[in-house]
Amino acid sequence: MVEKHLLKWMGAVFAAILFISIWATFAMLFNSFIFPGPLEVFESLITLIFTGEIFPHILATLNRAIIGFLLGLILGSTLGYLTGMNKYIDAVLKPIIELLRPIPPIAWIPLAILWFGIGDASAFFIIFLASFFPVFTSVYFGVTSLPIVCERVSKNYSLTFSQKFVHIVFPFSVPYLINGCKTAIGWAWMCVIAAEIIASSQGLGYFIEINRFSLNTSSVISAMLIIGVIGLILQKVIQVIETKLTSWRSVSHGE
Amino acid sequence: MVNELCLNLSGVSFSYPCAQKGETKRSLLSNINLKVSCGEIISVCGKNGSGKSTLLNLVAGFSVPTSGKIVHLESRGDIFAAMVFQELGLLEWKNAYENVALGLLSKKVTDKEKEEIVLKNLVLLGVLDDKDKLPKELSGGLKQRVAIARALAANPKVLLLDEPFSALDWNVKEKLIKDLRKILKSRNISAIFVTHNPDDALLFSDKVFALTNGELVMVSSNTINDKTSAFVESEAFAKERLKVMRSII
Repeated sequence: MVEKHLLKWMGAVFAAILFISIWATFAMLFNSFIFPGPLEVFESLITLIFTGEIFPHILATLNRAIIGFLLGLILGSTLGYLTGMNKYIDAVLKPIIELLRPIPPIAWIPLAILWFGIGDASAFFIIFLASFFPVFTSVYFGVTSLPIVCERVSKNYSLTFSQKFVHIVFPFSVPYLINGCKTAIGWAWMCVIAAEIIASSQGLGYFIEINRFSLNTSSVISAMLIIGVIGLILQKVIQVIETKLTSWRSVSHGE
Repeated sequence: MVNELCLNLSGVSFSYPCAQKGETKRSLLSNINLKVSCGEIISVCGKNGSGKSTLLNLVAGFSVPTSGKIVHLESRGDIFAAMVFQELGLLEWKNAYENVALGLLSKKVTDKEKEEIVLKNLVLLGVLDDKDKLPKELSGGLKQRVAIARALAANPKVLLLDEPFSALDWNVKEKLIKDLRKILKSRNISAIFVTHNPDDALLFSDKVFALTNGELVMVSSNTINDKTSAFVESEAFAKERLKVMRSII
């Protein structure tokens, strides 16, 4: 176990050193306005953190991503459960959702600007769309994968709709819901940056865009690194929730 | 002792619906007549695909017969027939106690009564010590016992058993079958047990039926209540086994 952890850490340290070395080598080949080196970016990152300049942008982006994600999670899971559990709702809603699902969330940006203007509402709308479809699809797939024997147990013991949902359908579908959330938070995080680049006046996407205009490439890359780290933290948070909610899946088998 | 009638199947037939237009229906059960008295235990033997599980599904209400009638003549609780499934159907996210308590969800009982019923059935099936374990942590035999405890906790009039012992080795199976028979007799619960194993059928039940070509025929009936090891080793048992085997080939 200790060896496994040690190997993992050593692998990570080695990967970081390799990445920085390749980056530094390439940076030497270009002008620092186009491709700044790791040291310049690190300096810029420290300045951004210690002056506090980046924090309002981080908070604005997190705020949009989390609210948009939660809206997508609530509506996506609710409709996913209703559609999966009721054949009439399934017949009506599924074709509409299947038609809209392949449209990339970013393709909605022009319409979002037209409908909501430049600002939070457009970003919320795009992030909501980015989160809604993965959550809906995963939950729907989870509910419709419920084994027939679980359906029959519910029928055999005359469970009501709510009892069936609470005791059977929801616990069974939690791993699917979490998978949907993992994909959704990834998409939400990617789309919030894209939405902010195009239609916002604050946030990490906006910060990248204004620094691109002023050829401050070090700040652009610093913001990109911050985006990567926060995205990783969000995924880890969902993993922790997953471990808590699905602990029953990892117990050891009986004889 | 003459017991009142509890379940009556008259002229029950079942055909699979056509998968494609123009395709003829596949008839699985035809004109099944079966009377089960209260507390009577019957077995239905048959080959794979003979319609044994379909018969149980019809009694449980999971499927509707194509023709004929299924009459439940006495219902003392909310649930007439509780089924022990071949796959058991234990919920992996609930421990043994919670799985058994699931059988009581639709009943109007207080929390204290519920706890008493669940614990009583766990004790009866000998799984009280494992009440906090998840199904994954239980052995095959213990899982079967939890599934049976759940069905009995619902206090059904009829227990339906869909080959629940098929994955067990003989020693575990023999003990479980004998324990369950004792419990059913003491609580006057009827049972329909479907199996492809004549030994299990003879050991567990009062009457053995064979299901072949969609028809149900009684092939063995015995009045021995206490099915001891001596009975299993007796010549009579061997004769009955041969009879059952011949009827299902």
